[in-house]
Amino acid sequence: MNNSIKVKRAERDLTQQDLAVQIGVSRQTINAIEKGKYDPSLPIAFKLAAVFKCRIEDLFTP
Amino acid sequence: MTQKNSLLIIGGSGLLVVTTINLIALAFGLPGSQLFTNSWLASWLAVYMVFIGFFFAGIGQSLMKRQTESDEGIIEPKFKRYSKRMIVAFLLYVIAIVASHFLLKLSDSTVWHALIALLPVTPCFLMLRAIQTLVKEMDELQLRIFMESCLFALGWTAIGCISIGFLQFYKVIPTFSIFWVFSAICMLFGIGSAMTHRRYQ
Repeated sequence: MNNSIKVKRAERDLTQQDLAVQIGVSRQTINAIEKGKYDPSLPIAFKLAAVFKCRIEDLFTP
Repeated sequence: MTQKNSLLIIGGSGLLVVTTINLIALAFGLPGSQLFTNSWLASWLAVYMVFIGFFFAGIGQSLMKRQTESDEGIIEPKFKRYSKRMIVAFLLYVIAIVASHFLLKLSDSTVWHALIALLPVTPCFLMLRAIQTLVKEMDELQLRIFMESCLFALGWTAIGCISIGFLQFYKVIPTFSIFWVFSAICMLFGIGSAMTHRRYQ
């Protein structure tokens, strides 16, 4: 699954660590999600969408 | 900032300490200086495998950290707490192994021997508690890596046990202590952890 988390994170000038703290996961998890190595669960996807103030579909594309 | 890795530190320092103690034992001709032929040194070799497991798990963690973009030196507090608990438990384990070796000679009672022989098991409860606490605090990716590493260790240990069991049944190889199974699990968990971390880096 592709995602635009890295782009949206850069737009908001957030580090992986900043985002990880806001979501409540480890920095490695954010890194793995951004690289498409790991597809997050629905609760994490909702939290990411809430941080970036967008819909889940805007963040993740199949 | 210099990258720190608690698992690598535990594994590396553990291997160093155990090697030093074994070299001293060999140099001074302490009982059981013959590798593999004596249960005492065999138990030390089993301890080696446990630390090798930590070492590989640490390598896995390092591989993952290398790919992240910032604040590389940070270790999550939960891993710091886990490392401290494990270091204490391992120190007690090593002390208990050495102590039990000498305490066994104090009495010929079977009950005494049983109690002293089980002395090194008590710190294992602390290790179990440390692992349980860490698992409860893991996020979903860390939990997934942990589960995949466990599965790797369980699977290969099962295959190893069955293979060795058949070889022993047909007397191709001699029987040996079941004690090695736990050490093999630790070592395989470490290798599995390194491989799984690499997949998600």
